[in-house]
Amino acid sequence: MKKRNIIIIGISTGGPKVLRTLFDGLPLLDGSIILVQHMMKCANKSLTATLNGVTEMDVRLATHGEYLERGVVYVAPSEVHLELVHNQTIQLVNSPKVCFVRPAVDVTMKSIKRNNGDNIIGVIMTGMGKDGADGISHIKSVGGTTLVQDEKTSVIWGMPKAAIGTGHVDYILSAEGIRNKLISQLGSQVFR
Amino acid sequence: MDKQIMIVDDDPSIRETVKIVLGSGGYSICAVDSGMECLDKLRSGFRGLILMDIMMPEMNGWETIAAIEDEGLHGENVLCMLTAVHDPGPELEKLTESVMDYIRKPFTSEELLGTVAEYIAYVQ
Repeated sequence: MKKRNIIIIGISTGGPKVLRTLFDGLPLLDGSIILVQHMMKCANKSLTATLNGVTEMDVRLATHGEYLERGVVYVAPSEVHLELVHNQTIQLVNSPKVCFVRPAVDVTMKSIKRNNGDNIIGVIMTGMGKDGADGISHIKSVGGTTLVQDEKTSVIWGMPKAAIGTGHVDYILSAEGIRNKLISQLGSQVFR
Repeated sequence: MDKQIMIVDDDPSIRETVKIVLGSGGYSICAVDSGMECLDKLRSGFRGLILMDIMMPEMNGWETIAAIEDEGLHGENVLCMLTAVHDPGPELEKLTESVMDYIRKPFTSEELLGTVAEYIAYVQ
C-alpha cells in the first residue's frame, strides 16, 4: 500500500488573505490537504471558490464519509469538527467547541494515528488563541513534521506562538516559505 | 440592498478617511459612530462588509460584536476589525469565528482597499 501524504492546516483571523498567498500558484501536490479555517458558515463556499481559483489543487468543502484523495484540498465546514478515521476517511462530528471554535484544528490533528509510514505534516498559521498547540504536539508524537507561520507574515501571531511554545515545532516560516516547504516535501508530481 | 461597506468608528477623521479611500474604489459607504448605530443598521437590513473599531465609548467593538451574535444579526455579512489596538487579547479568541480579518491603524490606502476587495466577495 502506497504511503499517504496528509497535510493539516489550522488558521484563523486573517486567514483568507494569507491562504491566498499560501495557495497562489501551488501546483498539484502528491498528497491531501485538510484546511481548518475558523469562519462563519456563510464564508465556506466563498473561501473554497477563491482558493480553487489560485491553485492547481482541487479545493472542495469536505463531506462526511469522504475518502481522502491525492491532489485535493478539503475545507472543513463550519459548525462541526472534522476527524480522520484511520487517516483516510473524513468524519464530521457535532461535538462541543474546543478553544472556543468548531471546527478546531486540535480535534483534526489529534485524530491522526501513527500508521506505517504515512507522511503527516501539521501547519499552524495566523490567528488568535491556542487552537493547534495540542494538535502540533500530537502530530510530533506520531512522527509527523510541524510547520508554523512566522510573526512577520501573520496577521495575528497567537496560534503560531502557542504552537511554538509547546517546543514541538520543526520549522518557523513565512507563508511563502510554508508553500515552498510543502512543495519540496511532497513534490509536484503527475500521479493521476 | 446592494453590498455596502459599514465603517463603525467614533473618530470622525477615520470615518472620513475610510469614506474617501473606499469611495475612490467605487464602494458604497455607510459610516456610523457607535456600536448602537451599527446594530440599528443591521436591524434595518444592512448587507455587506463591516469595518469595526474596538475602542469606542459606551459600547466597544467586542461588545458590539457580541450583541450582533446574541441578536442573530451577523447574517451573511463579513466583519473585520479596524483598530489602533495592536494586540487584540483574549476578547478576539472568544469571537474568532466572527472576525475575518484585523487591520491595524494607521493603515495605508492600499491595505484598506486590498482587504475590502478580498472580503466583499464573501458577502453572499
